[in-house]
Amino acid sequence: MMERAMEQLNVQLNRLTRSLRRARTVELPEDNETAVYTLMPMVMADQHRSVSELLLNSKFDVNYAFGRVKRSLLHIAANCGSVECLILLLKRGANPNYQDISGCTPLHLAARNGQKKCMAKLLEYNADVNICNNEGLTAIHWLAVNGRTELLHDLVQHVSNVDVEDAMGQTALHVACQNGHKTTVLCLLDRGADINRPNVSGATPLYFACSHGQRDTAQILLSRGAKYLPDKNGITPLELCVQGGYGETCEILIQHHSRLFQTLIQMTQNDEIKENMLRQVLEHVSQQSDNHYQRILTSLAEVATTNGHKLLSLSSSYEAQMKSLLRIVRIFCHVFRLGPSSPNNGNDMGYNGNKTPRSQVFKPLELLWHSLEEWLVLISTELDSNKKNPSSSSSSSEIASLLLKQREGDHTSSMAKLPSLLDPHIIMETEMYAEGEDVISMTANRLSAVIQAFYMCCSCQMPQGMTSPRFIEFVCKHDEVLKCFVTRNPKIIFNHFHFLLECPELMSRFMHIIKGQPFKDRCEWFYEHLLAGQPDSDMVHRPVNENDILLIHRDSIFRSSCEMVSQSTNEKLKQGIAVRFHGEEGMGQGVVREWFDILSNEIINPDYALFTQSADGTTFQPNSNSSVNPDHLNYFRFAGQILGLALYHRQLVNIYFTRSFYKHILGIPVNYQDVSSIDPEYAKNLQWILDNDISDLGLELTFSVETDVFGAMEEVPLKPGGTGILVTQDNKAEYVQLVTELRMTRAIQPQINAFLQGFHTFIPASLIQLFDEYELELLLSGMPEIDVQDWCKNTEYTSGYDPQEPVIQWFWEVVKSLTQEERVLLLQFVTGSSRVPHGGFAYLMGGSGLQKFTVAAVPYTPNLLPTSSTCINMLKLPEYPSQEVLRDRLLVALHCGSYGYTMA
Amino acid sequence: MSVVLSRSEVRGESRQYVGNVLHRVLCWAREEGVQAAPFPAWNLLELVNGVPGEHFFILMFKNSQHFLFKFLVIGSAGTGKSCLLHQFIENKFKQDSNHTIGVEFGSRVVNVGGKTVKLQIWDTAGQERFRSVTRSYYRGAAGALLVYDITSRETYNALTNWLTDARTLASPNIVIILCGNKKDLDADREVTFLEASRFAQENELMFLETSALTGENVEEGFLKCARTILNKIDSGELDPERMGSGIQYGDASLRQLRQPRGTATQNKQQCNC
Repeated sequence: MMERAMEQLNVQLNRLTRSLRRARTVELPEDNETAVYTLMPMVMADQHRSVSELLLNSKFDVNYAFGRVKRSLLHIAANCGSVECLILLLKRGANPNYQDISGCTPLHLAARNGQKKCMAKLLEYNADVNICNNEGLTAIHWLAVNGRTELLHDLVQHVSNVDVEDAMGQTALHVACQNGHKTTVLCLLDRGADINRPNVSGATPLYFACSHGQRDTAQILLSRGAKYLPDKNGITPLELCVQGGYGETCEILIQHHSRLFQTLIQMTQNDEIKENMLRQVLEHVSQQSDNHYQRILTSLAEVATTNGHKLLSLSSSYEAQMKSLLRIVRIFCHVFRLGPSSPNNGNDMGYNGNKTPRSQVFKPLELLWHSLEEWLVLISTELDSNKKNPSSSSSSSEIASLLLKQREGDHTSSMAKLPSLLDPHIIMETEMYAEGEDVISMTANRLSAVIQAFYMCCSCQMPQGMTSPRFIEFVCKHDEVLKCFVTRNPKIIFNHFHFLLECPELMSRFMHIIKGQPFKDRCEWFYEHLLAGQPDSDMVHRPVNENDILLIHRDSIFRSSCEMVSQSTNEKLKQGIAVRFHGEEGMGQGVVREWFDILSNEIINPDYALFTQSADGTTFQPNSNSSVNPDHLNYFRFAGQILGLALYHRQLVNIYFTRSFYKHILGIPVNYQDVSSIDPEYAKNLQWILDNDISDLGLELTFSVETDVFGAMEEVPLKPGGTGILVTQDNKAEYVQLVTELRMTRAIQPQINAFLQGFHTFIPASLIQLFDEYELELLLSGMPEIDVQDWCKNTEYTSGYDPQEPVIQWFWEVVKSLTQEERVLLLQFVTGSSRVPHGGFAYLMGGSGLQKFTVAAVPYTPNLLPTSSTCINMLKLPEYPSQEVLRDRLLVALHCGSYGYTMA
Repeated sequence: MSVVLSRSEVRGESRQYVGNVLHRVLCWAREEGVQAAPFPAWNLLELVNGVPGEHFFILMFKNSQHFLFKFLVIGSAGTGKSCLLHQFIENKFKQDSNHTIGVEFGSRVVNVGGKTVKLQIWDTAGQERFRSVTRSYYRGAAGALLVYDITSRETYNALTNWLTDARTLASPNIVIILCGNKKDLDADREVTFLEASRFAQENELMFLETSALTGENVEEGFLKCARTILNKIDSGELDPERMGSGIQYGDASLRQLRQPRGTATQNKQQCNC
């Protein structure tokens, strides 16, 4: 008894020491579940000696499946490539074909992970190569997915059919093609894989290669005679290539199936295909050779011409054809600009009569331009005849309608009375003119779209930024018709006449029409065009280059900003701004906003003497004495840059300029009204001269002013010989204008010029012209918040109005119903400024000190609009009979009259 | 195009498979809008059961066209040009047709002598004031329908002018067919058939009297013109490759049928056109 106990103790002690020495258990637990978790890490590490030792005397079932996916240890070994353990397990009778919960055998796992030796061993132990997992994948699929060609060579020896399908009908060849494993594809093909095998949706290996842009694989398949087959939905491999933008693969397809070239060209008409992808493909194919280049462009030009002609036929859909035409022309121009790959594509810029081989490609389009010309000539004839016969046209239509009435009234008598007037000729003529109007309105949109296409084609032959003389000539020639188009339908300007923004000389012709369009539309157009040349300038998604960050010192914000901005290039600044304050972590849009805010405050800091406050205390304009700062012109240029940059990136600045300075930015001449912001008293005097007959007053004014120049009074002539010219009733307007210019412009001309120089580096002068001075203020400084209650509380009434008056009640109800934008317009209309002063309406400034918003009564006559006197913040509101009329009239006044003054 | 399956290759198990394939082919054809018909007529069951007959065909007419022809319809105002086009394309008469403004467009795919041809037809305004605009569409037209109204001598008299325009502005090889329209208004006839056909002969035109109202000879007019052009292409008189010929090769790719799997089915492609 004792001995046995001793012996047992000894064994246990022995075990204990062994276990401790090896830092693991030396005997497997009884139950499989615990045992398998003991073994698993050893199998993973391929510690085959330990495993074999543990398995030696145990009752462990080697096929025991465990875990969530119910795998056996053999799976683990195959998966991890633990070949010794694998052999051990197989020797101990592990089932090589055991499937886990997803149907995978150890062979699948070995194949997936490329465990060559394990796979070989499993095959040796007769693992079944044809077992599918639950998705129908066999070992051969797994090898093909990952392109393990070497293993595949081994495996195919055991496979009778390499075309075994998975649940989707896909063979190994499909998956290999999809993933572009060249050697795998070759190996499978050599083993007799079916090259044209469709899967359940009809997709062939070539289809898969194309859908993933596997150029080399597609090449192999095509050279081995793969057929070009669409899937069951009729989607072709070419379409897939184009959708993915795989130019190289497309080119291979076209090489093997030359007819696909035309198909590719025709795709430009299909708006389901992404334009940039198609462009990318055509770009690539055209770069292959001069011949490709010529063919693609000529074909595109032909397609564009047909499309343009279809657009000009009135029964076609304007939207669809227009989009299609412009898309084709855009692609055409893009490919043309890139030029063929050969280096000698040289200098054949300029539209010189299709002489050079490169510009030959434009030839088919000439047909379209010819039709365009003829159309415009036709319309101009229609316009002329309408103009010449406006009376005859209207009178004959009147007669016709008169006749119709009479005919209705008394059939027989009128017929007898007016036989000559019933002449069908007259009626036909009437129809003609009515139709003439129709022709213009029906074709204007369509012709404008073709004009846009024409412009694109003309300018893609010119160096960037230049307008083709041919196009300028074209616009000049058809000036009248084009103006007629845009007057009837101003939307055309924004939709099609982008050329206006690119050439100021043409823009000026249309300016008056453009200015009449809603601010919002112009704004959109402005930014659309401003950013047109830029790649997506999205700082949020673009990694910022450390060197491009503007590092600003808070304590010398003006100087350090100036330095940083001058060090950067304009192009970089246009792409995006990243600002970091010295010693701070923060970056991003918030910091940029803060920077613009602080910096704009600094720019008007009186310490720099750059800008001076105007009479109303809130607006600024260049200081005529800024030269006390010797570097002042550089600083003005910098200020201009900052403002331009802010506008470019839609950042608001915290500066409000005087009306006259906004006009300077826009290049609009100033008028005497603008003087009131810097010298209200003097402005009143000018106003008085204009309002009253001065002939009998004996003012004895001449065209000159006395100025204090370094303490001495000096007479400065307003124009050559001005000191000798008397101001009379007839020339007083000119006098006022010249005096105004002297006060407002001449004194600060160098500062203005420097500022504009900076401003124009970011905002082209031609673009900013789209706005007036009020709108520019909104663009630069943003829309102010207006508190209607405060406004209402601080309003006075004169000339018979009192707050209880129904008209006044209506007025405030209307104001409450206005949009924020319209309220701003109203404020601008009455006070000349879009802003509410600090502290609210109570602090509204007039020409001479505090001046509350005032509403004055005016006797009502029909159609009378409200007017205003901005110097005294007075709205002259006619006593309208109803709220509707008031609202209507007020809105008309706001939308038409917020700029430009008529003295009332 | 056709699939040719030789019976000798359709054995045993693969027989059913081939039946399935053919079924799939027909379904595909229907989805694709391709005309397809089994030939000789059989049903799939028979095929699977191994019905006699050495070969099984599926005839297919591709949607894809061989050629694209640019056509013009010209002639004086009110002769019914737009109605002719409408009748040709929509197969019905266009009620309350207005004067055409500028140029209208229509297209139809037709089968001429086994070839699929897309006709791109430009229907021009007859009114004088549109003359210069419509003229700009002439260039590069392969064929033209010159239309007059048999009830209006005035429109007949104008034919010479139209003809000169067409011959000088379009290609000199343009194929023109003279159409005396409004054949249904025989009672008001001002131009006799004989007279017009003599005019046609003198000017080397084809000639037909048509009625856009009843549709008589409308299709024939367009087809005749297309057929002549095709003949000229075959004889080498017209070269589709030349720019401005008004002829383009078809745009669609060659559609090929899938090869059935496993079986070494022989796939011949032959044009049944």
